[in-house]
Formats: sequence, structure tokens, C-alpha cells
Amino acid sequence: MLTIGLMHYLVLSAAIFCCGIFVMITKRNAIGILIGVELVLNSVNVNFIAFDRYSQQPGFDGQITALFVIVLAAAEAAVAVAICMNLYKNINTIDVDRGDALHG
Amino acid sequence: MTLTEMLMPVAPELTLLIGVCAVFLLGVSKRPAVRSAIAPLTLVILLGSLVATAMCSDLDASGLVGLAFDELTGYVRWITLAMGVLLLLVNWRVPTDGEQGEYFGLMLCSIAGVLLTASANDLVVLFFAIELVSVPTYVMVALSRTDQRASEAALKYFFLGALSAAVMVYGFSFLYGLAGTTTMMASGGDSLQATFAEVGAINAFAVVGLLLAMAGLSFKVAVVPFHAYAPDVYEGAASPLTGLLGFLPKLAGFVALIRLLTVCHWALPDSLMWMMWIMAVATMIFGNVLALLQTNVKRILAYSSISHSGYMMIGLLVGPVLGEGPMHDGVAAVLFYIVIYGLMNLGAFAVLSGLNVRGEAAETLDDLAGLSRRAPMMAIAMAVCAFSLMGFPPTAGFLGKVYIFSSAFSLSDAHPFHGPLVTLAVIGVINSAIGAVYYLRIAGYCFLREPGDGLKRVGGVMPGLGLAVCSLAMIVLFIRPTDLVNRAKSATASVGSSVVTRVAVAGAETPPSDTRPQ
Amino acid sequence: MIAPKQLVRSIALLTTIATFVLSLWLIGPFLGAGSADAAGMIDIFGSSYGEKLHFVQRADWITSKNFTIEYFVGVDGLNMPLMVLTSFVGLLACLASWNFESWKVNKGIKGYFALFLLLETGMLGTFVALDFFLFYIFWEIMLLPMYFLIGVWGGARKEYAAIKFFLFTLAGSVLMLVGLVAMFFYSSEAVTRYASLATSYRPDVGVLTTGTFDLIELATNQAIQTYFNATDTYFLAKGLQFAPLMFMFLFVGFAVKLPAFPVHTWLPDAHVEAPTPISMILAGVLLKMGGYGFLRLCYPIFPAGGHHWAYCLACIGVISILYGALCAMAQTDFKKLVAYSSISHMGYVLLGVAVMTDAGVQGAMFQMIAHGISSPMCFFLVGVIYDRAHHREINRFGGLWLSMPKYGTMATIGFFASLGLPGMCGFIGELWVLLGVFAARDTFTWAVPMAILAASGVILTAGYILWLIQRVYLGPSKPEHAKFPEVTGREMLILVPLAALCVLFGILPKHLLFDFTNGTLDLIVKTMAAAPERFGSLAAGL
Repeated sequence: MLTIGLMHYLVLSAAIFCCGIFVMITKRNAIGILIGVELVLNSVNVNFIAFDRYSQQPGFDGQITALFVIVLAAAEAAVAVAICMNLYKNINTIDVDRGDALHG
Repeated sequence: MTLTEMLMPVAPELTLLIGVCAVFLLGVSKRPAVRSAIAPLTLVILLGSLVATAMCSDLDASGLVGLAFDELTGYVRWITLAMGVLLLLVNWRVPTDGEQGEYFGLMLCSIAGVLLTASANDLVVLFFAIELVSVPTYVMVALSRTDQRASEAALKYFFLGALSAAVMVYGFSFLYGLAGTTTMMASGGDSLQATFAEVGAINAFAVVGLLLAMAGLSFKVAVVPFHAYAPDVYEGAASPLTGLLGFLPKLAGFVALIRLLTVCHWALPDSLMWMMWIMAVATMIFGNVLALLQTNVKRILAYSSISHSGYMMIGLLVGPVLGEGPMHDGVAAVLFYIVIYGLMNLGAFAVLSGLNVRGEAAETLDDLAGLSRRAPMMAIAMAVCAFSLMGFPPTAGFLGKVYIFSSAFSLSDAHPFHGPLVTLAVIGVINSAIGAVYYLRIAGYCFLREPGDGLKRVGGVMPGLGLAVCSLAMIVLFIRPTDLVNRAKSATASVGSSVVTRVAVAGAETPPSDTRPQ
Repeated sequence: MIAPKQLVRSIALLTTIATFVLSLWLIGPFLGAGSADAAGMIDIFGSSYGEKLHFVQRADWITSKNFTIEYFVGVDGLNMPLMVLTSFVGLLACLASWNFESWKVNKGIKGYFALFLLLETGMLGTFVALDFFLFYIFWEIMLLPMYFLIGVWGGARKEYAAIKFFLFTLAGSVLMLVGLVAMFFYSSEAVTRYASLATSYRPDVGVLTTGTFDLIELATNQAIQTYFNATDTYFLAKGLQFAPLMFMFLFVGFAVKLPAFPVHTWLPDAHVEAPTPISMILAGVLLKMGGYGFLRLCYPIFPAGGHHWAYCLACIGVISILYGALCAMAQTDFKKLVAYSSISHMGYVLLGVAVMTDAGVQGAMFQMIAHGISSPMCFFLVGVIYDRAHHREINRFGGLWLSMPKYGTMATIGFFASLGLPGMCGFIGELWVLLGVFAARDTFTWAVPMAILAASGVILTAGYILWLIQRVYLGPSKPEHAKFPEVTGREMLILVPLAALCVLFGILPKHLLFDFTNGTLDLIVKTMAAAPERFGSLAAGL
């Protein structure tokens, strides 16, 4: 019978991390990219909580950190949406490929 | 311990944060008189924070979880707040009416973030401090101008910034997994530093954690291959704001890197060391070569900002040395150089923001043509900043570069990375000669070309004052660098002591290789 | 009330006059060997170069633990003549700038003279600084005014010329910066390892315990000398010997300024585009910094490096002589011709230094001073005719002597001095260098062929200069030149002292130069010559 250990969680979080990066790279819609960022941040949460659960040390450092990260993710999302709206006001779309004012 | 005593060490940060609230609140006022008082109020807040920094000399952090204060904290506080005043002066007229509250409030947030970065002693606090620096800058980019380029730049900056922060904190999670605590340093009990002393930096979690954390921070300091945002963001944001973007996130990034390296006793695994080495070389070469191809001054300065990060990486890789002069200490050199860099970079952008060509903000080299005929003082200021960026005497940029490069030369033969680091410094010196080409081009356009039509001075007293201070500081710091240099040197005292700790704890066979006999 | 324009020029002129008069003061202690107790003088004990330093001033500038950058200036036989030359050429160039408003680019007289004086400061500073860091700073600072003086007040391709000049010199000095830093740390290593040898030349220091930028210390401290020149002191990687590598790092920077053959290409461009007074300074003073650098830094501090590269440098010297002369022969632009002749003449300096004999080094020093007198004169002569004709095509001139007899006379003196006619200043330097090369034939396998090649350079020089004189000054007078006004009093004021010195230095080389310089030069040569025996492997225990 397979027992779930720390490694499984780490692999899970790594998978979520990679998914997040993949989403960020492939999505053209700004909100889609934002979702990618959220995925990466959530993989961080999984990591923190798993490490906390399996560590020998007393305390809840990891879990508290995960809470902090969730709060930060929410704040970042608010900023992201604001910036998206700003862009929408200017070019009537949030498709990032349509922004070409900068010759980068 | 009373609450007052407990909070006294963070008085500068608290002053700033209270100020942020006040500025935000006043910003929504309907009365123009109130709104126009916001910029002066911000100045008062910054000065108040400076006073608080001077007053809270007793830095007892025992009442505060996750914070620790040392000489580095003090140094970073001073330079950030002092530069903050200049940043404010140069940005005085950037926000459109009605947005002053947001703009200056966010600027104060960002400054507070840098201060917190310097006192963070916990990975979570460090992460939040870095985010406190960055997130406001994303918004400021969008606020600084009303056109499409600004919002595009803001979006790009935000996504890459958010990704880098996420990668960094993902790395932090592994460091947490390794140590079982998020505390970075502690005199007794669990801490990352103690864990590193036990396991060394060869543990898989340690390598992965450091790698990801450094990758995330590399974005903040714009190191290749995490530099891609810089040219676009610099071009999209208003010029005065760009001066801020070149300083605050970079300073926070370097301070965080210094803290992180202190935690691992300045003994990175060889693989990471080589990775950083290659990144430093790539950063210098890439930044300089691409800057050669630009015609937009803001993009030139963006690439130059990348290459300057490469120079500072040299100092970072050399690391601190106890008990020797500043010529021997890579970290002190970085701390000195970043001030110089912030000043000269801000000066260059302040010149751009003080000029208007046919109603548009000056941006390209052609816009600057013949500046010496239209606005001689601006042209001289631009030349001073350009020559300083070039690293040319009699400007402070020269001394900054000398300190950085000489720190590498000061390593003794016994240092495992002696050869590669000296080579790195030589590559840096050669690169600074390549960089001279495009800085010279900027100065050349200002002085050697005939002026085009429509070049006009704009801006007011405050940005002009900021510019004057920046360029004068370049000369003054060249003539009398001793104070700042020695301050930078003493700021590394606690950072450097971790090198010794490593030897004591891990019982390394070779003596601390980078301390030289007297 | 004086017009502001007049006031600016007058201030500049008074400043340069004052500088010149004060620089004459420097000669004082060198007149007669007996004045040993002049004020402000240090005796350097030990058999080292720079036996007597005069007018020494020291002050700490940037200090912290173990590390001091000093404001340290002093005058010895090596830099005294160059200081006087600088202030003299500076004064004449200031006079030559007097007709500023008649130049086509009539702008910014204040800026012009401010930069001019800054340039003179930089030049004098470079010569007088005895702290390497200070030297380097002056060396770099000098570039700034030069860049702007060529770039703003220059000719048609001024921007290209200014940037080329700046970047060439900067590229050269970048390696010097590496050398500067490396030398500091290696000297600190040296005094730690060989504390027993580390006796300083300064009694107040006693035994040196820290690294130093002091040029005299670097050259005289036995600990530093031993460590720097040992065959197994390495830099960067094992196998890269310290002394030859550092010597090369410094040499490249100085060779660009000299300029020596492969890195000379900035010079013709800079000269052609620069205004006349700036050309005078460029040729008269700036080029000397290369030669001065060899004698002040490269050879005394890294004699082993000098031996290592001797052939290479001598070859570069010969190539510069021949290449410069051949290029000069092919020019039709008057100013470019003089510029290429400078390259040829400075080749002798390199050759003379490279063979490391008494006569060679003395000749190199004399050649520097001689060229510092004759080349500003030549450039001014070009400037005089350019002011009148507004072109510099040699083939469009002719018969100028008939319309401007005074000018023709002066030109003949100037160009003959440059040619190296016996009895004129150019002759002594070249002759001494050639003698020096012959003298080195025992240690230098290819000395004789080199000397012959270098001597053939003299023939080439005679060729292009005589041809030049024939094309420009002789022959029938052309109608378009017939109305040229004769040289003015101001122009004569510049030409006559130069002409007089051209002749005087040719007749009295000993009294005017060798008496002052040879004391210092002999000691430098002694250091250089002793090198192979003195320096061995550290591992072998010396």
C-alpha cells in the first residue's frame, strides 16, 4: 500500500509550479497569465504546508507562511486586474499580443 | 518592555507607513490646494523618517519577530531615505492632478519596503518586504503616464515581477524545508544560518532553494537572463520614475542577495558559483553590447542599468572580508557603488524629464542634439552623469568601479575562485571600456551636434534641484569619498562575520581564504 | 571697460604666463649639482632612480585602513623638462587661440578657454603626479577637455575624430587600470612576504607594511621589486608572469598616446580636425606622455618586463619610424603630413627606450623635448597658412616664400628642425638614439640592422620634408597666394621663440637638457640594465 510522504507533495507542487509557468508562457490573455501566477504561488503553498506537516520541528511556521502567501496573492491579483483595466482602457483588449507600442 | 520601546527600532518604517495612510487619504480630497500639498507632505514624511533613523540608534529587535538590525540596516536606511528625497524631488511633477495621493503614497510604500528588506530576518518578512518594494512600482508605472506604452509596460513589469517573486518564494519554501524554520539568523536556536553551517550548501534542498531564490532576486536587479523587462519598462515609464526603478528594486534585490548569501556563509556550492559567474559575464556583455545598438536614450540607460548590475555582481561574488579596507571588500564596494549608480542614473533620467521636444518628452539621442546650446546647465549635468556612468574621473562612478574591480584583485591565491574572479574583474574592466562608447555618444549628442528645433526646458524648481544635487554629488563624492566608503565598509561588519562563523562551525581546513595577512 | 571676450582671453593668457613663469622656478634646484639642501627635497637612499626629488608635496587624499591614496607630487630630472615644455607650449597655444573669433566655428569662447586651462591642468598633473592613482586620474581627466576641444571646435569630421581619440586612449588606459589595481595588491603581498627587504625610501615610513601607489616606492622598494619581477610571480593564471604582463598592460596605454604603430590611427584624424592651438598641444605635449609613462612607470617598476619585450618594442619603434615617414610622404594634406611625421619621430623615442642603453634613453628624452618644440611650430605654421588659404592641399600651394618671406624663413627653420638637420634640435635626439642602438649590439642581436633601418628613416624624413618645402614654399608665386598678408606680430611672437629654441637645443644640448636629466636617466638605465641578474625565481630562494 502506498503511503503518501513528503516527496509526493513536493512532486505535486513541482507539477503545479510547472503548470503555472506553462500557462504564463502560452496564454495570451492577461487574465490567463494571472492565473498562471496564482498557480505558481499555490505550488509554493503546497510546499510550505507539506514541509510543515513533515518537519520534526514544533510550530506552524510553514502554515502561517502559506496564509501570508495567499493574502499576497489576493493583493497581487487586485493590482493585476487594475493594470489590465488600464490597458483595456487604452487598447480595448487585454490580449497581450496586441500591445506593440514598445519595440522590445 | 512597553509597546513604544518595542516599536522604537522600526520608527523609520512606521513613520513612512503612517505617512502612506495620510497621503492616500489626502489624495482623494476634492480641493486642489490639499492635493498640491501632497508632494511637500511626502517630503516632510521622508525627512521625518530620516530623523527617526537618526534617533533610533538603539536597535534592540528582541521585541520584534522576524526583524533584526545591524550595521547594514542602518546604512541601507540612510541611503534609501536620502535617495528617496531626491527621487521625490525629481518626481515632483510626474503624477497628473488627482493622482498625487496614489503616486506619492506608493512611492513611500516602495521606500518602506527597501527599509524592511534591510531589517528582515525571516524569509517571510524578506519576501513581503521585496513585494512591498515591487508591487507599488507596477502601479506607479501605469500611473506615471497616460498613454498606451505605460500600461503595456506596467503589465509586462507586473507579470514578470510576479513570476519572479513566485519563483523566489518557491525557493524559500525549499530553504524552509531544509531548516524547518523561516528564521534566517539567530544567535541560538534554529535558524537557516545554523542549518547551513551543519549541512553545508551541498544539500539538494539547499541548492534548489538557493537557485530559485537567487533567480527570483536576479529579476529585481535585472541580471541576464532575467533582464528582459528592463528596456521595455524603462521606455514605457515616465523618465523620473525610471530613475526610481533603477534604484529601489535594485537596492532591495542586492540587499536581499547579501542577506541570503550571509545565511549560507558566503559559501555557495561550486555549481551555483559558476552559474552566477556566467550570469555576471553575460550581464555585462549583453547589457553593453545591446546598449550600443539603441537610439532611444531610455533604452540605452536600461541596458546600461543591466550592465551595471553585472559589475555589482562581481563585488557580490567576491563577498565580504573582515577587518580590511574597502578596497578588499566586495560587499562594501557594492554598497558604495549602488549609491553612486542610483545618483548618476537618476541624474541622467532627470535631464531627460526636464526636456521637451515639440511637446513630447525627450527620449531619443536626436532629441538631445545640441542641448549645450539650448540649456547649457542641463547639458553639463548630463555629461557629468554620462561620464560617471562610464566610470571616468573626476566623477564618483570611477571610484565606484575601482572599488568593485579591486575587491576581486584583493582575493588571495588560496581562494578557490581566485582565478575566475580576477578574470571576471578584467572582463568587467574591458566591458566598462565598451560601455564608454554609448555614454560618450550621449555626451557627444549634447555637445557636438547642432541643435534641432523645438527643444525646450520644462519642469520646475524641484526637479532641477534634484538634478543639481545628483550631478554635484558625482563630483563631491569623487573628491571626498572617504566618509561614504567607510560607512559602506562598516555596514558589512555583521555580514562579514558570517564568513568567520562558517570556519568556526564547519571547521574548514583552509583558513578563511579571503582574509589576507596584515 | 574690456569686452567680455577680451577679458576671457586675457585671463587665460595671464594664467598661462603665470604658469610658465612658475614652471621656470622648477629649474632652480637643477642648476648646478651643489644645491643639495633646497627646501622641500627628499634624498632617496639606495642606488635607485629619482635620486633627488624636489618640490615634494604630500597629503592623504582617500584613506582607510591599509589603504591610502595620496596627493603626492614632486619634480625630478625626468619630469621637470616636460613640465616646463608643457607650460611653454600651453602659453604659445593660448596665444595661438587669440584669433578665436576668426575661426569658422565662433562659439563658446568661455567654454573654449575653460577647457583649455583644464587641459593644461591635466597635462601638468600627469607629469608631476608621483602617486599612481593620482597619475591615472590626471591621465584620464586630460581626455575630457581634449574630447570637447576637438569635438566642438574642430573641423568637418570633428565628432568622428573626437570619439576616436577618446576611445583609443580610453581603451589603452583600461588595461592600465587593471595594472594599477593589481600593482597595489601585489605590492601589499610583497611587503608582507619580504618584510625584511621592505625598507622604504622615506625615513618617516621606515619599513613599508601596506600596499602602495607611490611610484617611487614601487620602483625603489626592494621587497616590491623582488616580488614584481620574479619569474614565478603570476597574474591571473599560472604561467602568466607578472612583470611582462603588467609591463604590457601599462605599455599599451602609453603606446596609444605615443602613438606607436598599430594603435596610431587616431592621431592623423585628431590632428586634422583639431583647431591649430589644440594640435600644437596634442603634438607638443600629449604625445610625450607616452614616452614619459615608459620612463616613469614601465621600466623602473618592471625592468624584467622591459627585457622580456625588448625586441618586440624595438621592432614596433622601427616600424613606427618607417611607417610614419612613408605615410607622411604620401600625404597631400599639409596637416596630415605633419601628423604622420610625428608618428615617425616618436618611433625614435620608443626605439631608444627599448634598447635600454644610456645613449638610447637620453636620446629618447631629448627627442621628446625636441619634438615638443619642433612639432608645435610645424602645426602652427600649417595653421598660419590655413588661416589665409582656408585649405591645406599641399599641391595647391607654391611659391609662398615670395609672398611671405618672413613666414618662409620661419617655416624653413621649423621643418629643418623636424627633419633633423645637424645643428637643430631634431638631430641630437635621433643621433643619440641611433648611437644607443649601436651601443646595444652586444646584448641585442639585431641591433645593427635595426639601427640601419632607423637611420634610413632619417633619409625618408629628409625626403618628404624637402619635397614639402619645395612644393609649398619654393617655385614661382601663384597669383591666388600673392595677396596673402605677411605673418602678424602675434604670429611672430609664437614662431620666434620656437625657432630660437629649435636652434639652441641643437647647439647646446648638454646645457639645456642633458645636465638636468641625465642624473635621473642614468639611474633608470642602471635599474633596467641590472634586471636579468637581479631577478630570478622566488621558489629558487633568490
